[in-house]
Amino acid sequence: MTQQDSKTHIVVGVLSVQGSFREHLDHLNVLFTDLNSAPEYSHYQFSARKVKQPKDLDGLSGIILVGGESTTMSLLLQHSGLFGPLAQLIQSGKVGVWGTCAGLILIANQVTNTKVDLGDCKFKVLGGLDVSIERNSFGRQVDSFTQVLSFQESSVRSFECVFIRAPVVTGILSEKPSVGTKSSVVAEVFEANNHSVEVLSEVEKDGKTLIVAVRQGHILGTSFHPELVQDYRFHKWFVDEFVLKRSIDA
Amino acid sequence: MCASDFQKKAGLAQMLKQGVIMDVTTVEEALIAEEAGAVAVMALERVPSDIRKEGGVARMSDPHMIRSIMDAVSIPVMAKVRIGHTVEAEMLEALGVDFIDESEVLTVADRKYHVDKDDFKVPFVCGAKDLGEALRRIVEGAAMIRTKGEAGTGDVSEAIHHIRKIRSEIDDVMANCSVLLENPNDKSGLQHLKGFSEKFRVSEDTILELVRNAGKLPVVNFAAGGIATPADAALCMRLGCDGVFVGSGIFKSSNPAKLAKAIVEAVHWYLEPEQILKASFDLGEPMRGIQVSGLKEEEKLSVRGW
Repeated sequence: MTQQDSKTHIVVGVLSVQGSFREHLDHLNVLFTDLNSAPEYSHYQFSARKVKQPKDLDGLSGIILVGGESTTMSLLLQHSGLFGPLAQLIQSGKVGVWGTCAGLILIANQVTNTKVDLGDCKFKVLGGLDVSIERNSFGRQVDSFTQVLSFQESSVRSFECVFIRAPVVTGILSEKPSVGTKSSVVAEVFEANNHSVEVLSEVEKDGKTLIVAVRQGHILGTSFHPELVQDYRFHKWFVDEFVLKRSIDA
Repeated sequence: MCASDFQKKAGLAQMLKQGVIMDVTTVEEALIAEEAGAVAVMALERVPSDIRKEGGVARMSDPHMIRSIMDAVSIPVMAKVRIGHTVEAEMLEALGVDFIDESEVLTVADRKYHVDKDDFKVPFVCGAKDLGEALRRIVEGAAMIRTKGEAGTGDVSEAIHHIRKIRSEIDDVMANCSVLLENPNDKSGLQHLKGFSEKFRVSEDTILELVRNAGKLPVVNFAAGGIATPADAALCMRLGCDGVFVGSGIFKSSNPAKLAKAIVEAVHWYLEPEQILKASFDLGEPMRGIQVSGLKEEEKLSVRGW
Protein backbone atom coordinates (compact mmCIF):
# COMPACT_ATOMS: atom_id res chain seq x y z
CA MET A 1 0.00 0.00 0.00
CA THR A 2 1.41 3.40 -0.92
CA GLN A 3 1.50 6.37 1.40
CA GLN A 4 -1.23 8.02 -0.69
CA ASP A 5 -3.64 5.11 -0.25
CA SER A 6 -3.37 5.10 3.54
CA LYS A 7 -4.73 8.63 3.73
CA THR A 8 -8.36 9.35 4.50
CA HIS A 9 -9.94 11.33 1.69
CA ILE A 10 -11.92 14.29 2.88
CA VAL A 11 -14.11 15.86 0.21
CA VAL A 12 -15.97 19.07 1.02
CA GLY A 13 -18.76 19.96 -1.41
CA VAL A 14 -19.89 23.47 -2.29
CA LEU A 15 -23.45 23.88 -3.56
CA SER A 16 -22.86 25.42 -7.00
CA VAL A 17 -26.30 26.35 -8.20
CA GLN A 18 -26.07 30.13 -8.00
CA GLY A 19 -24.24 32.79 -5.96
CA SER A 20 -20.81 32.90 -4.33
CA PHE A 21 -19.74 29.28 -4.89
CA ARG A 22 -16.57 30.22 -6.77
CA GLU A 23 -15.47 32.29 -3.74
CA HIS A 24 -16.08 29.39 -1.33
CA LEU A 25 -14.27 26.95 -3.63
CA ASP A 26 -11.31 29.35 -3.91
CA HIS A 27 -11.13 29.59 -0.11
CA LEU A 28 -11.23 25.81 0.29
CA ASN A 29 -8.62 25.28 -2.42
CA VAL A 30 -6.18 27.68 -0.78
CA LEU A 31 -6.83 26.13 2.63
CA PHE A 32 -6.51 22.56 1.33
CA THR A 33 -3.21 23.31 -0.41
CA ASP A 34 -1.91 24.29 3.03
CA LEU A 35 -3.46 21.38 4.91
CA ASN A 36 -2.34 18.76 2.38
CA SER A 37 1.27 19.63 3.13
CA ALA A 38 0.87 20.23 6.89
CA PRO A 39 2.37 17.47 9.11
CA GLU A 40 -0.49 17.61 11.62
CA TYR A 41 -2.95 16.78 8.82
CA SER A 42 -0.79 14.09 7.23
CA HIS A 43 -3.51 11.42 7.67
CA TYR A 44 -5.79 13.27 5.31
CA GLN A 45 -6.02 14.16 1.67
CA PHE A 46 -8.39 17.12 1.19
CA SER A 47 -10.28 18.24 -1.88
CA ALA A 48 -13.21 20.53 -2.72
CA ARG A 49 -16.03 19.64 -5.13
CA LYS A 50 -18.75 21.56 -6.95
CA VAL A 51 -22.19 20.14 -6.14
CA LYS A 52 -24.76 20.56 -8.91
CA GLN A 53 -26.57 17.25 -9.18
CA PRO A 54 -27.42 14.31 -6.89
CA LYS A 55 -24.39 12.20 -7.88
CA ASP A 56 -22.08 14.99 -6.64
CA LEU A 57 -23.23 14.21 -3.08
CA ASP A 58 -21.57 10.77 -3.05
CA GLY A 59 -18.69 10.46 -0.61
CA LEU A 60 -18.82 13.98 0.82
CA SER A 61 -17.59 14.65 4.36
CA GLY A 62 -18.97 18.18 4.46
CA ILE A 63 -21.05 20.58 2.41
CA ILE A 64 -21.26 24.38 2.23
CA LEU A 65 -24.44 26.15 1.12
CA VAL A 66 -23.35 29.51 -0.27
CA GLY A 67 -24.58 33.09 -0.41
CA GLY A 68 -26.79 34.17 -3.28
CA GLU A 69 -30.54 34.50 -3.83
CA SER A 70 -32.39 31.89 -1.80
CA THR A 71 -35.50 31.92 -4.03
CA THR A 72 -33.41 31.30 -7.14
CA MET A 73 -31.47 28.50 -5.45
CA SER A 74 -34.62 26.88 -4.04
CA LEU A 75 -36.29 26.83 -7.48
CA LEU A 76 -33.21 25.46 -9.25
CA LEU A 77 -32.75 22.77 -6.59
CA GLN A 78 -36.37 21.69 -7.01
CA HIS A 79 -36.16 21.63 -10.82
CA SER A 80 -32.88 19.70 -10.93
CA GLY A 81 -33.92 16.92 -8.55
CA LEU A 82 -31.17 17.80 -6.09
CA PHE A 83 -33.56 19.16 -3.45
CA GLY A 84 -34.66 15.83 -1.93
CA PRO A 85 -31.28 14.05 -1.72
CA LEU A 86 -29.60 17.21 -0.41
CA ALA A 87 -32.23 17.70 2.32
CA GLN A 88 -31.80 14.04 3.36
CA LEU A 89 -28.01 14.37 3.51
CA ILE A 90 -28.10 17.60 5.53
CA GLN A 91 -30.55 16.22 8.08
CA SER A 92 -28.87 12.79 8.30
CA GLY A 93 -26.06 14.12 10.50
CA LYS A 94 -23.54 12.18 8.41
CA VAL A 95 -21.70 15.22 7.06
CA GLY A 96 -20.70 18.63 8.39
CA VAL A 97 -22.98 21.34 7.02
CA TRP A 98 -22.43 25.10 6.79
CA GLY A 99 -24.89 27.66 5.42
CA THR A 100 -23.81 31.26 4.79
CA CYS A 101 -26.46 33.97 4.28
CA ALA A 102 -28.83 32.54 1.65
CA GLY A 103 -27.37 29.14 2.58
CA LEU A 104 -28.45 29.74 6.19
CA ILE A 105 -31.98 30.48 4.98
CA LEU A 106 -32.02 27.20 3.06
CA ILE A 107 -30.98 25.05 6.05
CA ALA A 108 -33.44 26.58 8.55
CA ASN A 109 -36.53 24.71 9.64
CA GLN A 110 -38.58 27.89 9.51
CA VAL A 111 -38.21 31.06 7.41
CA THR A 112 -40.25 34.23 7.94
CA ASN A 113 -40.64 37.50 6.01
CA THR A 114 -40.55 35.57 2.76
CA LYS A 115 -42.43 34.80 -0.41
CA VAL A 116 -44.16 31.44 -0.24
CA ASP A 117 -45.95 31.04 -3.57
CA LEU A 118 -43.78 31.36 -6.65
CA GLY A 119 -46.23 30.80 -9.50
CA ASP A 120 -46.61 27.04 -10.08
CA CYS A 121 -43.81 26.45 -7.55
CA LYS A 122 -43.30 27.07 -3.83
CA PHE A 123 -40.39 28.57 -1.98
CA LYS A 124 -39.14 25.49 -0.12
CA VAL A 125 -36.24 25.16 2.31
CA LEU A 126 -34.09 22.10 3.01
CA GLY A 127 -34.19 22.31 6.81
CA GLY A 128 -31.80 20.89 9.42
CA LEU A 129 -31.41 23.73 11.91
CA ASP A 130 -34.06 24.19 14.58
CA VAL A 131 -34.22 27.93 14.16
CA SER A 132 -36.53 30.52 12.69
CA ILE A 133 -34.81 32.83 10.19
CA GLU A 134 -36.06 36.21 9.07
CA ARG A 135 -35.05 37.20 5.53
CA ASN A 136 -33.59 40.66 4.80
CA SER A 137 -33.63 41.40 8.51
CA PHE A 138 -31.41 44.42 8.39
CA GLY A 139 -33.32 46.05 5.53
CA ARG A 140 -32.13 46.68 1.99
CA GLN A 141 -28.67 46.94 0.40
CA VAL A 142 -28.01 50.47 1.76
CA ASP A 143 -28.29 48.94 5.24
CA SER A 144 -25.61 46.32 4.55
CA PHE A 145 -22.61 46.61 6.89
CA THR A 146 -19.37 45.06 8.08
CA GLN A 147 -18.46 44.33 11.68
CA VAL A 148 -15.59 42.61 13.48
CA LEU A 149 -16.86 39.70 15.59
CA SER A 150 -15.56 36.84 17.74
CA PHE A 151 -17.22 33.45 18.14
CA GLN A 152 -18.09 31.44 21.22
CA GLU A 153 -16.68 27.93 21.36
CA SER A 154 -14.31 28.61 18.48
CA SER A 155 -10.77 29.78 18.00
CA VAL A 156 -11.93 32.44 15.55
CA ARG A 157 -11.44 35.87 17.11
CA SER A 158 -11.70 39.32 15.55
CA PHE A 159 -13.07 38.18 12.21
CA GLU A 160 -14.29 40.76 9.69
CA CYS A 161 -17.92 39.89 8.94
CA VAL A 162 -19.65 41.24 5.84
CA PHE A 163 -23.45 41.41 6.09
CA ILE A 164 -25.27 41.85 2.76
CA ARG A 165 -29.07 42.05 2.85
CA ALA A 166 -28.52 39.56 5.63
CA PRO A 167 -30.99 37.25 7.37
CA VAL A 168 -30.86 36.74 11.16
CA VAL A 169 -31.91 34.00 13.54
CA THR A 170 -35.02 35.37 15.26
CA GLY A 171 -35.88 32.31 17.29
CA ILE A 172 -34.72 28.91 18.42
CA LEU A 173 -37.46 26.36 17.85
CA SER A 174 -38.20 24.25 20.89
CA GLU A 175 -40.92 22.25 19.23
CA LYS A 176 -41.83 21.37 15.69
CA PRO A 177 -43.01 24.60 14.03
CA SER A 178 -46.61 24.91 13.02
CA VAL A 179 -47.44 24.89 9.35
CA GLY A 180 -46.34 27.81 7.21
CA THR A 181 -48.34 30.98 6.77
CA LYS A 182 -48.75 33.56 4.04
CA SER A 183 -45.25 34.87 4.71
CA SER A 184 -43.45 31.94 6.30
CA VAL A 185 -42.35 28.48 5.25
CA VAL A 186 -41.52 25.38 7.24
CA ALA A 187 -39.08 22.67 6.17
CA GLU A 188 -40.06 19.03 5.96
CA VAL A 189 -38.13 17.32 8.77
CA PHE A 190 -37.15 13.68 8.11
CA GLU A 191 -34.65 13.31 10.92
CA ALA A 192 -34.62 15.28 14.16
CA ASN A 193 -31.43 17.06 15.16
CA ASN A 194 -30.88 15.90 18.75
CA HIS A 195 -28.35 18.58 19.66
CA SER A 196 -29.34 21.90 21.15
CA VAL A 197 -28.84 25.15 19.27
CA GLU A 198 -25.84 27.16 20.51
CA VAL A 199 -25.56 30.88 19.80
CA LEU A 200 -22.04 31.68 18.59
CA SER A 201 -22.34 35.40 17.95
CA GLU A 202 -24.73 38.33 18.12
CA VAL A 203 -24.74 41.93 16.92
CA GLU A 204 -26.44 45.00 18.36
CA LYS A 205 -28.54 46.94 15.84
CA ASP A 206 -30.92 49.76 16.68
CA GLY A 207 -31.08 48.65 20.33
CA LYS A 208 -31.85 45.05 19.41
CA THR A 209 -29.62 42.02 19.91
CA LEU A 210 -29.62 39.84 16.82
CA ILE A 211 -28.22 36.33 16.46
CA VAL A 212 -25.90 36.03 13.44
CA ALA A 213 -24.09 32.71 14.01
CA VAL A 214 -25.38 29.42 15.43
CA ARG A 215 -24.39 25.80 15.71
CA GLN A 216 -26.53 22.72 16.24
CA GLY A 217 -24.46 19.54 16.32
CA HIS A 218 -23.11 18.98 12.81
CA ILE A 219 -24.65 22.14 11.38
CA LEU A 220 -23.17 25.66 11.32
CA GLY A 221 -25.11 28.73 10.20
CA THR A 222 -23.79 32.27 9.65
CA SER A 223 -25.69 35.25 8.31
CA PHE A 224 -22.51 36.91 7.00
CA HIS A 225 -20.02 35.99 4.25
CA PRO A 226 -16.59 34.62 5.30
CA GLU A 227 -16.02 33.83 1.61
CA LEU A 228 -15.78 37.56 0.79
CA VAL A 229 -12.72 38.34 2.91
CA GLN A 230 -9.17 37.10 2.35
CA ASP A 231 -9.15 35.26 5.67
CA TYR A 232 -9.40 31.47 5.78
CA ARG A 233 -9.78 30.96 9.54
CA PHE A 234 -13.52 30.43 9.44
CA HIS A 235 -13.25 27.82 6.69
CA LYS A 236 -10.47 26.10 8.64
CA TRP A 237 -12.59 26.06 11.78
CA PHE A 238 -15.49 24.53 9.83
CA VAL A 239 -13.20 21.80 8.47
CA ASP A 240 -11.60 21.09 11.87
CA GLU A 241 -14.72 21.17 13.97
CA PHE A 242 -17.55 20.05 11.68
CA VAL A 243 -15.89 17.93 9.00
CA LEU A 244 -12.92 16.18 10.63
CA LYS A 245 -14.38 15.59 14.09
CA ARG A 246 -17.39 13.98 12.48
CA SER A 247 -15.30 11.80 10.22
CA ILE A 248 -13.42 10.58 13.32
CA ASP A 249 -16.69 9.91 15.20
CA ALA A 250 -18.06 8.08 12.18
CA MET B 1 -14.13 55.51 0.62
CA CYS B 2 -12.82 52.72 2.81
CA ALA B 3 -12.23 49.20 1.55
CA SER B 4 -15.01 47.62 3.58
CA ASP B 5 -17.62 49.95 2.00
CA PHE B 6 -16.52 48.81 -1.44
CA GLN B 7 -16.45 45.22 -0.27
CA LYS B 8 -20.11 45.08 0.65
CA LYS B 9 -21.07 46.88 -2.58
CA ALA B 10 -19.03 44.52 -4.75
CA GLY B 11 -20.19 41.70 -2.47
CA LEU B 12 -23.84 42.09 -3.45
CA ALA B 13 -22.79 41.77 -7.10
CA GLN B 14 -20.95 38.55 -6.18
CA MET B 15 -24.18 37.17 -4.69
CA LEU B 16 -25.87 37.67 -8.08
CA LYS B 17 -23.34 35.49 -9.90
CA GLN B 18 -24.60 32.82 -12.24
CA GLY B 19 -27.96 34.57 -12.14
CA VAL B 20 -30.34 36.35 -14.50
CA ILE B 21 -31.40 39.97 -13.95
CA MET B 22 -34.61 40.88 -15.77
CA ASP B 23 -36.03 44.22 -16.96
CA VAL B 24 -39.57 44.73 -15.66
CA THR B 25 -42.01 47.63 -16.07
CA THR B 26 -44.86 46.61 -13.74
CA VAL B 27 -45.46 44.74 -10.48
CA GLU B 28 -46.99 41.85 -12.47
CA GLU B 29 -43.84 41.50 -14.58
CA ALA B 30 -41.65 41.72 -11.46
CA LEU B 31 -43.58 38.83 -9.92
CA ILE B 32 -43.22 36.74 -13.09
CA ALA B 33 -39.46 37.40 -12.99
CA GLU B 34 -39.18 36.43 -9.32
CA GLU B 35 -41.24 33.28 -9.85
CA ALA B 36 -39.00 32.31 -12.75
CA GLY B 37 -35.92 32.48 -10.51
CA ALA B 38 -34.44 35.88 -11.43
CA VAL B 39 -31.73 36.95 -8.94
CA ALA B 40 -32.79 40.61 -9.27
CA VAL B 41 -35.08 42.82 -11.33
CA MET B 42 -34.41 46.11 -13.11
CA ALA B 43 -37.41 48.40 -12.62
CA LEU B 44 -37.95 50.77 -15.53
CA GLU B 45 -40.85 52.48 -17.33
CA ARG B 46 -40.02 51.42 -20.84
CA VAL B 47 -37.87 48.51 -21.94
CA PRO B 48 -35.06 49.48 -24.34
CA SER B 49 -36.89 48.29 -27.47
CA ASP B 50 -39.74 50.71 -26.68
CA ILE B 51 -37.34 53.54 -25.90
CA ARG B 52 -35.77 52.83 -29.28
CA LYS B 53 -39.14 52.85 -31.05
CA GLU B 54 -40.75 55.78 -29.27
CA GLY B 55 -37.70 58.02 -29.05
CA GLY B 56 -37.78 61.18 -26.92
CA VAL B 57 -35.70 61.76 -23.81
CA ALA B 58 -35.44 58.70 -21.58
CA ARG B 59 -35.00 59.53 -17.88
CA MET B 60 -35.03 57.86 -14.47
CA SER B 61 -38.34 56.05 -13.93
CA ASP B 62 -41.25 57.18 -11.78
CA PRO B 63 -40.22 56.55 -8.14
CA HIS B 64 -43.73 55.37 -7.34
CA MET B 65 -43.44 52.57 -9.90
CA ILE B 66 -40.00 51.60 -8.58
CA ARG B 67 -41.23 51.62 -4.97
CA SER B 68 -44.23 49.42 -5.78
CA ILE B 69 -41.90 46.85 -7.36
CA MET B 70 -39.58 47.01 -4.32
CA ASP B 71 -42.59 46.29 -2.12
CA ALA B 72 -43.75 43.40 -4.29
CA VAL B 73 -40.63 41.23 -4.55
CA SER B 74 -38.11 39.81 -2.06
CA ILE B 75 -35.16 39.83 -4.49
CA PRO B 76 -32.93 42.91 -5.03
CA VAL B 77 -34.35 45.73 -7.15
CA MET B 78 -32.20 47.80 -9.50
CA ALA B 79 -33.11 51.01 -11.32
CA LYS B 80 -31.45 53.14 -14.01
CA VAL B 81 -30.14 56.70 -13.98
CA ARG B 82 -28.87 58.76 -16.90
CA ILE B 83 -25.10 58.80 -17.38
CA GLY B 84 -23.66 61.53 -15.16
CA HIS B 85 -26.97 62.38 -13.46
CA THR B 86 -25.83 62.57 -9.84
CA VAL B 87 -29.18 63.86 -8.56
CA GLU B 88 -31.20 61.03 -10.09
CA ALA B 89 -28.73 58.67 -8.40
CA GLU B 90 -29.13 60.42 -5.04
CA MET B 91 -32.89 60.09 -5.36
CA LEU B 92 -32.68 56.37 -6.05
CA GLU B 93 -30.34 55.92 -3.09
CA ALA B 94 -32.83 57.79 -0.88
CA LEU B 95 -35.60 55.57 -2.25
CA GLY B 96 -33.56 52.55 -1.14
CA VAL B 97 -33.02 50.64 -4.39
CA ASP B 98 -30.40 47.90 -4.03
CA PHE B 99 -28.35 48.69 -7.15
CA ILE B 100 -28.16 51.63 -9.58
CA ASP B 101 -27.48 51.12 -13.29
CA GLU B 102 -25.82 54.21 -14.78
CA SER B 103 -27.13 53.37 -18.20
CA GLU B 104 -26.59 54.28 -21.83
CA VAL B 105 -30.14 53.09 -22.48
CA LEU B 106 -31.31 56.41 -21.02
CA THR B 107 -30.41 59.77 -22.54
CA VAL B 108 -26.98 61.06 -21.45
CA ALA B 109 -27.19 63.86 -18.84
CA ASP B 110 -23.53 64.88 -18.59
CA ARG B 111 -21.43 64.64 -21.72
CA LYS B 112 -18.18 64.91 -19.81
CA TYR B 113 -18.43 63.10 -16.48
CA HIS B 114 -19.98 59.93 -15.20
CA VAL B 115 -21.39 59.85 -11.66
CA ASP B 116 -18.70 59.72 -8.96
CA LYS B 117 -19.87 56.39 -7.61
CA ASP B 118 -17.48 56.26 -4.67
CA ASP B 119 -19.62 58.90 -2.95
CA PHE B 120 -22.58 56.51 -2.71
CA LYS B 121 -23.49 53.75 -0.28
CA VAL B 122 -25.58 52.01 -2.91
CA PRO B 123 -23.59 49.98 -5.46
CA PHE B 124 -23.53 50.87 -9.18
CA VAL B 125 -23.38 48.74 -12.30
CA CYS B 126 -22.06 50.39 -15.48
CA GLY B 127 -21.85 49.39 -19.12
CA ALA B 128 -18.58 48.88 -20.97
CA LYS B 129 -17.73 47.99 -24.57
CA ASP B 130 -13.99 47.62 -24.03
CA LEU B 131 -11.44 47.22 -21.25
CA GLY B 132 -10.69 50.95 -20.99
CA GLU B 133 -14.32 51.77 -20.32
CA ALA B 134 -14.60 48.96 -17.77
CA LEU B 135 -11.48 50.13 -15.90
CA ARG B 136 -12.55 53.80 -15.93
CA ARG B 137 -15.92 52.88 -14.43
CA ILE B 138 -14.24 50.73 -11.78
CA VAL B 139 -11.91 53.61 -10.88
CA GLU B 140 -15.02 55.81 -10.46
CA GLY B 141 -16.37 53.23 -8.01
CA ALA B 142 -18.56 50.85 -10.04
CA ALA B 143 -19.17 47.62 -8.10
CA MET B 144 -20.22 45.65 -11.16
CA ILE B 145 -19.61 45.85 -14.92
CA ARG B 146 -21.86 44.71 -17.73
CA THR B 147 -21.26 44.73 -21.44
CA LYS B 148 -23.24 47.37 -23.27
CA GLY B 149 -24.28 45.16 -26.13
CA GLU B 150 -26.94 46.85 -28.21
CA ALA B 151 -29.99 47.12 -25.98
CA GLY B 152 -33.47 46.67 -27.38
CA THR B 153 -32.42 44.88 -30.55
CA GLY B 154 -32.64 41.21 -29.64
CA ASP B 155 -29.35 40.86 -31.52
CA VAL B 156 -26.67 39.38 -29.27
CA SER B 157 -23.75 40.09 -31.62
CA GLU B 158 -22.76 43.41 -30.06
CA ALA B 159 -22.67 41.93 -26.53
CA ILE B 160 -20.52 39.05 -27.80
CA HIS B 161 -18.24 41.56 -29.52
CA HIS B 162 -17.82 43.50 -26.24
CA ILE B 163 -17.15 40.37 -24.19
CA ARG B 164 -14.50 39.23 -26.66
CA LYS B 165 -12.96 42.67 -26.92
CA ILE B 166 -12.55 43.01 -23.14
CA ARG B 167 -11.10 39.49 -23.03
CA SER B 168 -8.59 40.08 -25.81
CA GLU B 169 -7.47 43.41 -24.37
CA ILE B 170 -6.88 41.75 -21.00
CA ASP B 171 -4.87 39.02 -22.75
CA ASP B 172 -2.83 41.71 -24.49
CA VAL B 173 -2.08 43.44 -21.16
CA MET B 174 -1.10 40.15 -19.55
CA ALA B 175 1.13 39.11 -22.45
CA ASN B 176 3.07 42.36 -22.35
CA CYS B 177 3.07 43.41 -18.69
CA SER B 178 3.21 40.16 -16.67
CA VAL B 179 6.98 40.40 -16.84
CA LEU B 180 6.74 43.36 -14.42
CA LEU B 181 5.64 41.04 -11.62
CA GLU B 182 9.07 39.42 -11.63
CA ASN B 183 11.10 42.34 -12.84
CA PRO B 184 9.46 45.69 -12.00
CA ASN B 185 12.06 47.54 -14.05
CA ASP B 186 11.74 45.56 -17.26
CA LYS B 187 12.06 48.15 -20.01
CA SER B 188 9.67 46.67 -22.53
CA GLY B 189 7.12 45.91 -19.80
CA LEU B 190 7.23 49.49 -18.55
CA GLN B 191 6.89 50.84 -22.07
CA HIS B 192 3.80 48.72 -22.68
CA LEU B 193 2.41 49.74 -19.28
CA LYS B 194 2.68 53.38 -20.27
CA GLY B 195 1.05 52.61 -23.61
CA PHE B 196 -1.90 50.79 -22.01
CA SER B 197 -2.30 53.55 -19.43
CA GLU B 198 -2.61 56.09 -22.25
CA LYS B 199 -4.83 53.90 -24.41
CA PHE B 200 -7.25 53.01 -21.61
CA ARG B 201 -7.04 56.45 -19.92
CA VAL B 202 -6.38 55.06 -16.45
CA SER B 203 -3.33 55.20 -14.19
CA GLU B 204 -0.45 52.76 -14.59
CA ASP B 205 -1.35 51.53 -11.09
CA THR B 206 -4.80 50.48 -12.27
CA ILE B 207 -3.24 48.41 -15.07
CA LEU B 208 -0.69 46.91 -12.67
CA GLU B 209 -3.47 45.98 -10.27
CA LEU B 210 -5.14 44.03 -13.08
CA VAL B 211 -1.86 42.25 -13.81
CA ARG B 212 -1.34 41.41 -10.12
CA ASN B 213 -4.90 40.04 -10.05
CA ALA B 214 -3.95 37.55 -12.82
CA GLY B 215 -6.01 39.46 -15.40
CA LYS B 216 -9.24 39.21 -13.47
CA LEU B 217 -11.36 42.36 -13.17
CA PRO B 218 -11.87 43.24 -9.49
CA VAL B 219 -15.66 43.25 -9.91
CA VAL B 220 -18.28 40.92 -11.33
CA ASN B 221 -18.86 41.15 -15.10
CA PHE B 222 -22.29 40.39 -16.59
CA ALA B 223 -23.44 40.24 -20.20
CA ALA B 224 -26.17 42.64 -21.35
CA GLY B 225 -27.72 44.06 -24.51
CA GLY B 226 -29.59 41.99 -27.07
CA ILE B 227 -29.91 38.69 -25.20
CA ALA B 228 -33.20 37.17 -26.38
CA THR B 229 -33.05 33.37 -26.03
CA PRO B 230 -31.79 30.74 -23.56
CA ALA B 231 -29.06 29.91 -26.08
CA ASP B 232 -27.93 33.56 -26.20
CA ALA B 233 -27.65 33.61 -22.42
CA ALA B 234 -25.69 30.34 -22.34
CA LEU B 235 -23.32 31.59 -25.06
CA CYS B 236 -22.46 34.66 -22.95
CA MET B 237 -21.84 32.42 -19.93
CA ARG B 238 -19.65 30.15 -22.05
CA LEU B 239 -17.51 33.17 -22.93
CA GLY B 240 -16.79 33.77 -19.26
CA CYS B 241 -19.49 36.18 -18.07
CA ASP B 242 -20.63 35.90 -14.44
CA GLY B 243 -24.32 36.23 -15.29
CA VAL B 244 -26.73 37.98 -17.69
CA PHE B 245 -29.14 40.88 -17.91
CA VAL B 246 -32.17 40.30 -20.10
CA GLY B 247 -33.97 43.48 -21.12
CA SER B 248 -36.62 43.59 -23.79
CA GLY B 249 -36.14 39.91 -24.67
CA ILE B 250 -38.48 38.44 -22.07
CA PHE B 251 -41.52 40.67 -21.94
CA LYS B 252 -41.52 41.32 -25.70
CA SER B 253 -41.86 37.59 -26.36
CA SER B 254 -45.18 35.76 -26.65
CA ASN B 255 -44.76 33.71 -23.43
CA PRO B 256 -42.68 35.73 -20.94
CA ALA B 257 -43.12 33.40 -17.93
CA LYS B 258 -41.91 30.39 -19.85
CA LEU B 259 -39.04 32.19 -21.58
CA ALA B 260 -37.91 33.72 -18.26
CA LYS B 261 -37.73 30.26 -16.65
CA ALA B 262 -35.93 28.83 -19.67
CA ILE B 263 -33.26 31.54 -19.54
CA VAL B 264 -32.69 30.89 -15.82
CA GLU B 265 -32.27 27.17 -16.58
CA ALA B 266 -29.91 27.90 -19.49
CA VAL B 267 -27.65 30.06 -17.31
CA HIS B 268 -27.61 27.36 -14.65
CA TRP B 269 -26.80 24.59 -17.18
CA TYR B 270 -24.77 26.66 -19.63
CA LEU B 271 -22.26 23.85 -20.17
CA GLU B 272 -24.93 21.20 -20.88
CA PRO B 273 -26.49 21.41 -24.39
CA GLU B 274 -29.14 18.75 -23.56
CA GLN B 275 -30.43 20.82 -20.66
CA ILE B 276 -30.51 24.05 -22.70
CA LEU B 277 -32.36 22.18 -25.43
CA LYS B 278 -34.84 20.80 -22.92
CA ALA B 279 -35.55 24.31 -21.63
CA SER B 280 -35.98 25.68 -25.16
CA PHE B 281 -39.00 23.69 -26.38
CA ASP B 282 -42.29 25.50 -27.08
CA LEU B 283 -41.20 28.95 -25.98
CA GLY B 284 -43.45 30.71 -28.49
CA GLU B 285 -42.34 33.70 -30.52
CA PRO B 286 -39.16 35.44 -29.36
CA MET B 287 -38.99 39.23 -29.64
CA ARG B 288 -38.94 40.31 -33.27
CA GLY B 289 -35.68 42.25 -33.03
CA ILE B 290 -33.55 44.42 -35.28
CA GLN B 291 -30.17 43.50 -36.73
CA VAL B 292 -27.41 45.64 -35.24
CA SER B 293 -25.59 45.67 -38.57
CA GLY B 294 -28.55 47.55 -40.11
CA LEU B 295 -28.43 50.34 -37.51
CA LYS B 296 -26.88 53.70 -38.27
CA GLU B 297 -24.15 54.79 -35.87
CA GLU B 298 -26.39 57.50 -34.35
CA GLU B 299 -29.12 54.91 -33.72
CA LYS B 300 -26.85 52.84 -31.50
CA LEU B 301 -27.19 53.16 -27.74
CA SER B 302 -23.82 51.54 -27.04
CA VAL B 303 -21.94 54.57 -28.38
CA ARG B 304 -23.32 56.63 -25.48
CA GLY B 305 -20.80 56.96 -22.66
CA TRP B 306 -17.06 56.90 -23.06
